[in-house]
Amino acid sequence: MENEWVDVDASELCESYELCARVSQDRLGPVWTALELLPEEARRHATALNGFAVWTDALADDSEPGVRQQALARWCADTLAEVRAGHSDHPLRRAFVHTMRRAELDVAVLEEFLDATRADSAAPPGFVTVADQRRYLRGVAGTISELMTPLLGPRTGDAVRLMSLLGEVCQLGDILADFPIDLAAGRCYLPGEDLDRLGLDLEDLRSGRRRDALDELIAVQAARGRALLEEAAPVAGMVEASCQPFMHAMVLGTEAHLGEVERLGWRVLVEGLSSTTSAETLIRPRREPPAGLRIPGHVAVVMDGNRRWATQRGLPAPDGHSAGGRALMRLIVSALRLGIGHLSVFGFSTENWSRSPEELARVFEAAAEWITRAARWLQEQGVRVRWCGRRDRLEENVASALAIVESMTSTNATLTLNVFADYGGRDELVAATRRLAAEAVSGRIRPEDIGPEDIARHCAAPDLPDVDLLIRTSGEQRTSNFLPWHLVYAEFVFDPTYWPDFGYPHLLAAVIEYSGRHRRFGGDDADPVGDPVAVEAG
Amino acid sequence: MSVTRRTVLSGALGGALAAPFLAQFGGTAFGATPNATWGTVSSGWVELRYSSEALAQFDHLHAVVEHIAPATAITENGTTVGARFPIHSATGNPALTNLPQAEGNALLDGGVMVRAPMGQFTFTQLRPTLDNELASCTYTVNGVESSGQSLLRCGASQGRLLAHPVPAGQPLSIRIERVPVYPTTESLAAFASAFGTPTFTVDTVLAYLTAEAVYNPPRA
Repeated sequence: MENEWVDVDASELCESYELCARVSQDRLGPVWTALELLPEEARRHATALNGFAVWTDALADDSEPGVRQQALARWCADTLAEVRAGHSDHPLRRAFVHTMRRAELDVAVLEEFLDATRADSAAPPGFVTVADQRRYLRGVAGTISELMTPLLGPRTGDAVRLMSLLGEVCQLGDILADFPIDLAAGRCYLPGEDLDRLGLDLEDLRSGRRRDALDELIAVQAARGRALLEEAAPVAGMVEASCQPFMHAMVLGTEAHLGEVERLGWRVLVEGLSSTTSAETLIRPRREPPAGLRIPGHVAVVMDGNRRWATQRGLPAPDGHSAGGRALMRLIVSALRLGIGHLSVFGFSTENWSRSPEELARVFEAAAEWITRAARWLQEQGVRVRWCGRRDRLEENVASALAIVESMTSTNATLTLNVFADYGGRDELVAATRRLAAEAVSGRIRPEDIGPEDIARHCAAPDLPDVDLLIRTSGEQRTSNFLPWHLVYAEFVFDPTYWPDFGYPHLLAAVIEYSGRHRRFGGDDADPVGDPVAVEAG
Repeated sequence: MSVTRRTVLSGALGGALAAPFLAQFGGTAFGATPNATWGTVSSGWVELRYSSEALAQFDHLHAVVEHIAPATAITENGTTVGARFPIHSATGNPALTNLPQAEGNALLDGGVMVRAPMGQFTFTQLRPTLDNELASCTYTVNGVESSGQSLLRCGASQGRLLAHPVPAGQPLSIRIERVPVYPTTESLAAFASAFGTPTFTVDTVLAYLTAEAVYNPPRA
């Protein structure tokens, strides 16, 4: 670390990095929050890149066209000269140049960014085709995102391409969010062919007329963004483990942003959308179950398909587990939105110990990362976390961290998250039986007095309610030794989606299916009173 | 698994490592009024066990280390090998969502007295601070308040975290042990100017740190 600073004036360089941080913090909003998840060195350099990009972008938008063209041209020329010389005296570019040199970032990509920004600043956009729009997205955002890649410790060459795609999606999200500002300035960043197909012109977009067509226009843009994001998302698992939380946050944040765009539909054209608002839907989900639905009180999920998801994309299994962790975050947010009280997830069976030690190590690493990173958020959302399953095969530090998180969240009541890891249903019942037998032998209980509640109190989570809805992903249709005691009256929904792709629409679809089922609990009656939460219409 | 260990240690305990050792989750005074969101930490102590290299340096200087109550000496076979300090108060940010930014500070009860041929030094009012895994400390030496230099670097990833599940809502004992503590460049320079060339370097483990406290989760 110290060697990094020997070739420059450390205090001036520090000030320059701090300036980049201030500039980034002011302009990037939730992206800044995500940047803070990076390890220190990567964060510092990523901040320098983003600070430079934000500054350049401001120059491109600033003042009268003639003045800004001149200023931007000089800015670009000076930047390239300094990067090639490896030195800058500019208060902001000093850190940027240092980062470019230190991380040996590609100057050609920087040139591409500067050229694209100058072109955007010189004339209003006029994209005829989607391909035209993609070239713009790549130039002004994909480039910067690509430059960040080496800072994140990429494992494969494909990470560079996917990072560029992720940058493009983020920029597309910005375009969708900034409609009112851009339209007022006579700028429309949508492909003309999309507008032509729907018979729309700029005035329709400004006025919000022809709402059906505008809704379709927005839906097409959001769907295109989602397709790009789906292609880019695996990059989150392709970087160093310590950088993955940042990448997951970026993917989840972008998903949430596109989701808000879809929810607003045509209104996003006139109202716009703040990225902070989008982030809030992810960070602080509101309880808003659709009216008329019967919400199950206890949903159990067999999170299946991580490895097949990875195989389908030509990725190693750990990348699937990494993406699966992101899906778990999505599931919790979705459960909070629907007002589900108990969520049990099956992540790691006792049978899985036959898998390779490397894969197991990665699974535990991911679990520990996830729980420690999410602990504060879980606590703030009122989520109680319980680890149900063996702990003796967990690494000691991991097991201890779990105990702390469980303790910290133990009195929360909004949602109880039961994480079943290294768990097997038969083992659970055998252990319960042994304990009851021991009680009987010691005279603490008479065999004829043993009832269901006695079995339950010796299960992994004694107060766990019966499961109302079991969801298994990836199309498999079996319970795989998960919660045999608690599933007796559960409704089953088998979803073909691989777990990493599971999200709110899938959970909602399962709840709708559950809500339409007739539950008799072994009797002739219809749903009894006391069955899970029925949400009043309206 | 080194990444996991580092993550877990600095993430779950966060600001607990290094100076504020087992600082309260949240930021109000240690053991003070219950914190509605994060709970409180109480009955904490910090223990430093000197390494053989540190003990050799004491011998080299003909120095004797004594402890000022309520700090207590740890002895083995009649030899003082360390000290335990009760935590008087502590605040900290565990930075659960941003591990490298864990930070905090504490006030330790008691102190240390070093008797050597060149003089007697009494260190009290020990106020360690953690920032970026570096522990600095302000203290009073022979009644004069010192400035807070970066004194020690804690090898957080090499320690053991110990906590065992308890029933919901019950106090939880948390311990972190065997965290190696190294001198910093600054503390080496300060040592050299006061006592001459030290026998240790920035890579020498001076002591092993153990800390323990009781975590009380927030009430329902």
